[in-house]
Amino acid sequence: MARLVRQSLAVVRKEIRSELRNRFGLNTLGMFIVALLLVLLFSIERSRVTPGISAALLFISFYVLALSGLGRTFLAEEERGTMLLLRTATNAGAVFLGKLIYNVGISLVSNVLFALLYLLLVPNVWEGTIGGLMLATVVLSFGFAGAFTITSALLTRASEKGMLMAVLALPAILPLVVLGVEMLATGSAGMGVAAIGPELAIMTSYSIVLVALGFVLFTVIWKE
Amino acid sequence: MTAALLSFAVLIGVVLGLLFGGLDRTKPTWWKVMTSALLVGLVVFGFGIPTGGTFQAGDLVRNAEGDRGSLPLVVHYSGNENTFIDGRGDAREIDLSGLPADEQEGLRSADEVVVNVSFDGEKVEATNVVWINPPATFPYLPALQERARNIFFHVPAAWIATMAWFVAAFYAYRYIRRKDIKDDIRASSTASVGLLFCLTATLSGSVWSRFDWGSYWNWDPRQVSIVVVLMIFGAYFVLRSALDSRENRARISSVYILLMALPVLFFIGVFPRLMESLHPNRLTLNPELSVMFPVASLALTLLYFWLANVSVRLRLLAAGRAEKRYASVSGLTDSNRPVKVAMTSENERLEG
Repeated sequence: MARLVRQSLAVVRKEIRSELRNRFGLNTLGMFIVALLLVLLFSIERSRVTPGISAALLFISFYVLALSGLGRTFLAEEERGTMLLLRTATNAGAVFLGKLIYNVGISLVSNVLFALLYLLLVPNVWEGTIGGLMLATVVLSFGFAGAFTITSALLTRASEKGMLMAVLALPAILPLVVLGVEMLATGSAGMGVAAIGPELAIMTSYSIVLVALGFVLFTVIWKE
Repeated sequence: MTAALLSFAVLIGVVLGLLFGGLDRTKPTWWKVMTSALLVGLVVFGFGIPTGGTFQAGDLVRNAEGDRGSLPLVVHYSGNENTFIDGRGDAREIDLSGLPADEQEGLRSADEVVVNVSFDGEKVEATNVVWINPPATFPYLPALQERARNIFFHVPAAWIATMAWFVAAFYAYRYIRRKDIKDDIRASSTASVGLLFCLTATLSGSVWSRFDWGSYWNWDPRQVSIVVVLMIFGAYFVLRSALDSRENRARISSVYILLMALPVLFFIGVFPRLMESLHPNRLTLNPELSVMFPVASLALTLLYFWLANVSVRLRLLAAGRAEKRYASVSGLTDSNRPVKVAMTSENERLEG
């Protein structure tokens, strides 16, 4: 167990180091956040946004951010030709956990940052407290990271990876999105954490089961 | 009760479907005859058995349509002048003057009749006789009318579509354990037939919804569920088409089926219970329906296994032919195979 944790953390360190080397992923993600916000601000400046539309915009943005930020996990290894190296140096569990932890980090930072900027910059988009929304975003980021990590692993051998990623990952995150949209659209997310307790509990347990299933199934993909 | 009946019928269908001929052997003749008879019976009885209501149902129709309305009634003659008794025991007078004399006589002498009537205020007038002494009748629900027959196709199709995903998941799991390419063929074939049933459930549901809820699509939780399951089926086949080598395709798509079992479970089992739905939570079935409904479910489950069986066998044949072609191109023809085997055993003998 301790060995698995040590190896996973080594994979996380490797991910961070290779990312900081050229900062390509982070820069792209930053640009995506700016571009998405610009388009949203520009288009809904004068119109009133209903809670339903606001929820849809927010979740589409989360999805686009995940596609650009999380989808690259294993594809980048494949492009750089470092997959074999990773395969020889460590085992499946550590690779999955390491990549997952890194992706959870990326997903958390980008989604929370985006949600905060969205609430701050887009006028009249939110009523009530933001605690519920932030907690939902955190849970959602965890689930997104799990779904995209395993899907990215599935796609290393496929052609047309970018397009496929959008199609394949969506069903896995849909339960989270549907519950999240419901929460935002009915306005219950604005009433604080207590009002959305049941939905948050379902979202959390779904994410945990998804990650656990991903962990088990990843060993099958990793073994060739 | 309905769910218990349905799951019992589907379970018997699964046992009969997998036990005899399985997915890759020819089904026995008696099995095919039985399944065909059940399917013909489903169509003949499902559409042929008349629906008939009560005077109370007639009052509901009349109130809904401005004091006038028409519907079929199931009644029997009371013995008194033109007074008939319905299934609930209500007795009312029906004006038979619009019918020919022999039909009037037939109505009075029969044990039970299905007759079309029109309500005009309190007055009930017979317009034509549908069936004298019918073998069975389905209840006439003012909200559903003849459309109630869709229950025999729509509900089992939705169940079978879900079951198909778990049959496919079973074979996907077996592929991962045993690495037998036949299991991948079984998984993808059962999923493709499942997709067909999923489409049937979606389309039959949306037509039903058009006439009962006002539009083809209402974003009812169960409609959302079925469309997500449809999307998952679609994503699975898109993934398969993007993978080139046979082994990669089998391995990765098997993992995807197992991964997607989670959202399928969520959307079928959890999601409809979280939201308010237009779908009825429980159905009350009269004796005729509670026989017909499980029979329909059984017939369609057997049809699913039959289609899957044909699809698996076709693809196994195609895979065998492709292998043979590959062997002949690469020089491993049938004529030199025995030589290779002989050489191998010779080597073994030498090594031994």
